[in-house]
Amino acid sequence: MPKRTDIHTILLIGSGPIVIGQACEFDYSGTQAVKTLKELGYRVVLINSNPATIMTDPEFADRTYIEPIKEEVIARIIEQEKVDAILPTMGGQTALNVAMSMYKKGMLEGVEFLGAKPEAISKGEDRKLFNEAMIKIGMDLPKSKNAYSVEEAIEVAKEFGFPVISRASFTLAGGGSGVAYNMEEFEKLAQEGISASPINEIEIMESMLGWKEYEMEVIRDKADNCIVVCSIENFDPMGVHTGDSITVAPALTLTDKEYQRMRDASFAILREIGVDTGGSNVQFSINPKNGRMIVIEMNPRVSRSSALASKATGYPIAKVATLLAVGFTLDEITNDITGTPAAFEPVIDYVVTKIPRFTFEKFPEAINTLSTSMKSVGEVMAIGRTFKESVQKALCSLETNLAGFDEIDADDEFVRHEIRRPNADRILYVAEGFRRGMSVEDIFDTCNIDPWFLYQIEELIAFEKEITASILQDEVLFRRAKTYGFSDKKIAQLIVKNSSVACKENDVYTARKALGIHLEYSEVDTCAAEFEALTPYLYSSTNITKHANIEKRKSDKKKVMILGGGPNRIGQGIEFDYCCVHAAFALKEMGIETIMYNCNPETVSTDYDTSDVLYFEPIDFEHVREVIENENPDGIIVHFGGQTPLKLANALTNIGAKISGTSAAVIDLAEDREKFSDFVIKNGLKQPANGLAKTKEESYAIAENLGYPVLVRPSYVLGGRGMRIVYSLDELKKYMDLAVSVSNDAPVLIDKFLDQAVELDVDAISDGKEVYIGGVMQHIEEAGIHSGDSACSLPPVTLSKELIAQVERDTKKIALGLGVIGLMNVQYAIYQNEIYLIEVNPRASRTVPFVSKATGLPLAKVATRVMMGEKLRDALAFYDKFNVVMEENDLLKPRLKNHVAVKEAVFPFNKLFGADLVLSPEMKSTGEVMGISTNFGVSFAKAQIAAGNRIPTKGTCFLSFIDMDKKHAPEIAKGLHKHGFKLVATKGTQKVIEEAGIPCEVVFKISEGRPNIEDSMKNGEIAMAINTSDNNTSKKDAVVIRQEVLKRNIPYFTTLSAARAAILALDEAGEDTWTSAQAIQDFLA
Amino acid sequence: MGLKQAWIYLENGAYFEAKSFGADGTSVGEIVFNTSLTGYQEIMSDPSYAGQFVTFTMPEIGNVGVNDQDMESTKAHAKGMLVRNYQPRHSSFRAEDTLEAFLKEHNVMGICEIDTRFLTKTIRKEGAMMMIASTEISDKDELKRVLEASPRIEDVNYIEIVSTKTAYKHTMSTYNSREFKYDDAPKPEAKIVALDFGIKRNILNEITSAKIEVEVIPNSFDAEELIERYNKREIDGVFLSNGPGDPLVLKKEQEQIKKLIAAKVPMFGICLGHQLLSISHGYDTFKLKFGHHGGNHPVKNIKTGFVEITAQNHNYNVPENIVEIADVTHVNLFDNTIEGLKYKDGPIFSVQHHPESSPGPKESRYIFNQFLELIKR
Repeated sequence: MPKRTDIHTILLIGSGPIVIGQACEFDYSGTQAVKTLKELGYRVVLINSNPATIMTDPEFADRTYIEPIKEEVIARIIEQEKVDAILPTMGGQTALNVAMSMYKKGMLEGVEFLGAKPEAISKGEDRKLFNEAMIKIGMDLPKSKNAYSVEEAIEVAKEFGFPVISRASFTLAGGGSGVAYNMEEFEKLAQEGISASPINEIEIMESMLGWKEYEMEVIRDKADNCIVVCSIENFDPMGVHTGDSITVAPALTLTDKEYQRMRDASFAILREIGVDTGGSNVQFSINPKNGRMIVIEMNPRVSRSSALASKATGYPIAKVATLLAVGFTLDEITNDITGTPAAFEPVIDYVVTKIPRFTFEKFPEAINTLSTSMKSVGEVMAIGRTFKESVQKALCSLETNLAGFDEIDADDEFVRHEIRRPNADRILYVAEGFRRGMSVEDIFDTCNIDPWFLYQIEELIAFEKEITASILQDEVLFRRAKTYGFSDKKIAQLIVKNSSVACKENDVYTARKALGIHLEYSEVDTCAAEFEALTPYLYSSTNITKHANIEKRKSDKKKVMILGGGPNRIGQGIEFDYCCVHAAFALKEMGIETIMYNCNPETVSTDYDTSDVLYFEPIDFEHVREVIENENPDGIIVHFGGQTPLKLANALTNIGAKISGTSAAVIDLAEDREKFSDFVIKNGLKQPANGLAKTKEESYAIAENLGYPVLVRPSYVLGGRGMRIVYSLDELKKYMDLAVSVSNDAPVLIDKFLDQAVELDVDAISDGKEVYIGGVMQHIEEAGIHSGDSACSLPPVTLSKELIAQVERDTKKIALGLGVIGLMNVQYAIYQNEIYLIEVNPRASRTVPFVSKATGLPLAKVATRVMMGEKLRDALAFYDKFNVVMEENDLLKPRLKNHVAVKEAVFPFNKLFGADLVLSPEMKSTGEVMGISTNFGVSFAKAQIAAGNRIPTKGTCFLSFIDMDKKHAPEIAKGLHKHGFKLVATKGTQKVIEEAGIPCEVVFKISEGRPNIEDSMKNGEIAMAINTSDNNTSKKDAVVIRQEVLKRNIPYFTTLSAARAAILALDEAGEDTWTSAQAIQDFLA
Repeated sequence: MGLKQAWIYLENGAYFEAKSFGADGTSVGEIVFNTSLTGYQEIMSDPSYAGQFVTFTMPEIGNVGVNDQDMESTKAHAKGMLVRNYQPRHSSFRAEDTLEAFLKEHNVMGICEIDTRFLTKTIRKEGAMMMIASTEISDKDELKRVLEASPRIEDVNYIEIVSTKTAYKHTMSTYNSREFKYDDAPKPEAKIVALDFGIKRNILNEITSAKIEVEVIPNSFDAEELIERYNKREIDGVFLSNGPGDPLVLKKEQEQIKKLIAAKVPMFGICLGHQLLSISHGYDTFKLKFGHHGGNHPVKNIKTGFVEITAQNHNYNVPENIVEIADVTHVNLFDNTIEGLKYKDGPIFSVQHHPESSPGPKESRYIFNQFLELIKR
């Protein structure tokens, strides 16, 4: 059957901001869905609050709503756009939940669900219905019961015994869920789960800790044809959320009889749940002792695992699912990779390893033991011919500076402890255990990781001893080491260790090339080479067989390689992938062949049809260099993937690779503090006074000289790691003693901190002669909060025209002075009406997508043309679809239309138990949302709603300010009082407010007695909290208050400026205005 | 790694050094590839692979060891297996021994540490071809000489080797994957004989599971006798099994089958049986370039429109013009070749793919019930 013609307009719901558990995989699936639906001729309406997505580019959907993914907003869109059907299965749990909630409330009358019907979604998501369905078809289930109160839960736990699992219903990525080993833990967990669940329900389950865990990615069409796209086996046994587990494809430790049983079960489940069409994922657990197979859960939608399965096999699940949703059957769809029908099961002739990426270093207080709630922020995938090669490549891809199974310096007891405890580095401790002589049996007993995986690691560690200096002349042994996935860098380290001779990565490389051992490239082709692959999606491997000739990809076209950003982590996320994808699109439009290079399976960049050629490889020097040798590209774009590729610029230049646009020398100049200071002075610009301390004593002297507060940070890290504002000598001493180890090689940078300064972010493009100011953004949070964590407004709200004009002139001067060709981001601070230069980054910044969406000019695309040698004016003209570019005072800049766009950051505090929600110079947010309207207050309110921090319009507001901020308390209080809020405040704050003549009651701090603020929050009496803080936040009260705010999901603001913005939003109040919906195309037109 | 050296030579002139984890010696056979991700033991013990070397595209082999339950016949019939990486240590609660021990026991070669993707691409581009593997001969010219002096696969009648020598009754039924044992056969409602050209055990299991009593008889059967037994209602039909090699060379079998066709004995054939039925109707098979070997081929059931993912293992195919005398019931969606037939003129149907799976997907099992429907009287 061809596509359905009875529906016309389809609403696609996105997944909103990047949060733990929902990353850019849903931009990948959503983008595929939009493209597919458009190609079929449907009118596509899209809602997604995340501006850093490809799917929200105005040219994709017919109507794009960058609005909060909330029921009332969606209801308006459905009415405005006359939506016939919705596709809720592409936007993760967010989309599914909002659609289901609206359905249950009767808000979707007359709107058809595509993909999965509401009944099927309920059956798949509601544990009770799911279990009933499973029992009906004879599936084995763990013992389980639901509870709605802690008392009820305790009775169940007593019955099942420990360990026992508790899961909150209807939450994403297992929020509020975990394993308890004793009653005390369990009570806490049950309480959390009941609060986290929107229906106050938890499920308590028999524990299968230590069992094997599998996932099946399955697809069904309306004719009931079912296929398995990919089987996935978890390296980490049951007990760790699958998103936090190392996983491997295909499943490696199943006999065919066991595999077919799982396959049959997956289809039976799909049919019984009633998923009409589309992709689903079914999870199983197997008792390794007797093969008992238990169904864990199923997701009636595309998921993170389906993105992984798509990248692992080359089979585009989201695209196929979309086609199935609008009426096609599997046999009517063509597999783009081979030209054969999509109705088959992909097979692979390699092993895929996914390793999650964590950022606990950003949240030292958070509990870093892995459990059934997801905590990772990103992931990498690596492909190798064997598990050994695959897993070592994956470790190299993580961007944690690993060269493979790096050694760990710890005592044996600790190593054993960390093998037992599920944690981010457990696999490294397992390897270390083998190094210390532990046996497979011993390690298996300690952690229950399947012996098959342990054998592989044991063999790798045993092989380490064979890597000595003589390997450099031994082709056979060298080739074996490479087929095992040992990186050149690791081999160099091992030679140094085993032979006590000097050896560098480059020595290993040189010897390897002399022996004729090259990385060779194979296609990811869905079929294990049974058919010819039409799309070059490639991975490297060292061949076990030495061939006389190695086949190389041939191409006569001009080609440019784009280096991607690697795994998502805090500070480097989807924004950079967005830029890389735009570069690929722009190059395609220029007729240049595009080569994408990345290792993050969640991304749009690694979709096989984003670029002409795709290399799925670790972003390290060895692998990048080898691809350059293989392809000899005419240009390499290192500036769009964030810090990861940028730091390779020098090394690549040194081997003669052609870096497009801004040169490595310019990048170096901007990053070298001393050279840059000279540049600043020479150009008559101003920087905050600063100094460089190589000893503790030096740091005290410099700080004294600059005057407190000062901003301190180690010089060797980027992205705000370890950055702190220090207000006194005592604090500085503490910082120097505990936070950093200062030395000649690792000095500490000290800047005068510009207290209460307003920060600006400027994105610009230069072709070396002219400069286009992409956008000037004013941060809402004051200086001292990392720019990535601060909300910002485009255009600026409170700055004078003259000041902005000066900022623009300075930006031009910097771009031309440095010699930037392409994108550049500059951060400024406005302090006492003076402009200070904080930082210059001659690369794509995190704000590029936001600015592009807000102004309608795609900065990364324009920059790409410029980097290819086109004149800035011509490049701008090519992409100026909305007639945005204008010239003013010798500057090119956007003509801002009648709207204000506000970006707000989204934080993972609620996922990382124990983490404190204080903002600082160290970036902590995982994602962002955008609010857009014709008024700053409304845009701010929208951004808050989208970020899950809906400003209340009535109720009681709790205020607590640190001393430094108390003078501003009356102003805030007045603003709130004006809107009818009842105010309560801690003693000091209350005093200031009352003295200003505004009614405000005292509420006890926790230490002051009861009932206190914690009680009030628990009783649901607090509608909003405004709580400023400083470094001394370890104060117990403040921490408890913030934890309670998080747990109860109470809207909160932690800075004065954000509180002011909230009041501005209230001034424009009316929930009605806040939830109005207007398509981005209308704003830009 | 204490693995022995091994050398292989293909008739297109390709020569490789690799390692051996199976039996020692020198062996000649036809090289094919199989894309199944699981089930190496079932494949190696499938008599249809007699005379062949199987290249496994799945790179990690040996992971789950071997066990008695997963045998598709009493021994390993293939000439050898070619794998990228052999795992000497397995992890499966079902494992009873290593794959290495199994191959050595059955005197089958195991070649590892070889670029199986390259071999697969070679076969894809140039077709299935003869090859030689040896743990004794390293010299390329010597390998070439031995290979050229050996009979080609089409010159050997492997049926004579793999078929049972005596008739026997099959009593087991299909595998119960919840209890990890084979069920007993249910009470039969019909009775057949199965002509053994190299039958897989799971075909017999599926037949008994479909409530058909089955007696397995050698390929040297006498059609007259079967017709007589059919007429006396001692049997209700005949099953023609899978098996190795080129069906065109099986002249003796074809002659007997022609008699069964003429006598209107109800018949069902799988794979080689399917091909023999076509030839016996006067429609000769042709050789595919590199055949179908794997567990992921989509086959469309023309009647229901349903797409079945199937297990496949064949190098030969029935010709297009057989539609003159038979209705096509199944089509392979990869290359549109015929996968199933129902003859217009008699109670005969057959399929090219393997509805008994093992290894492979099980959605085509229903075909055995259709056999019962056909023969029940």
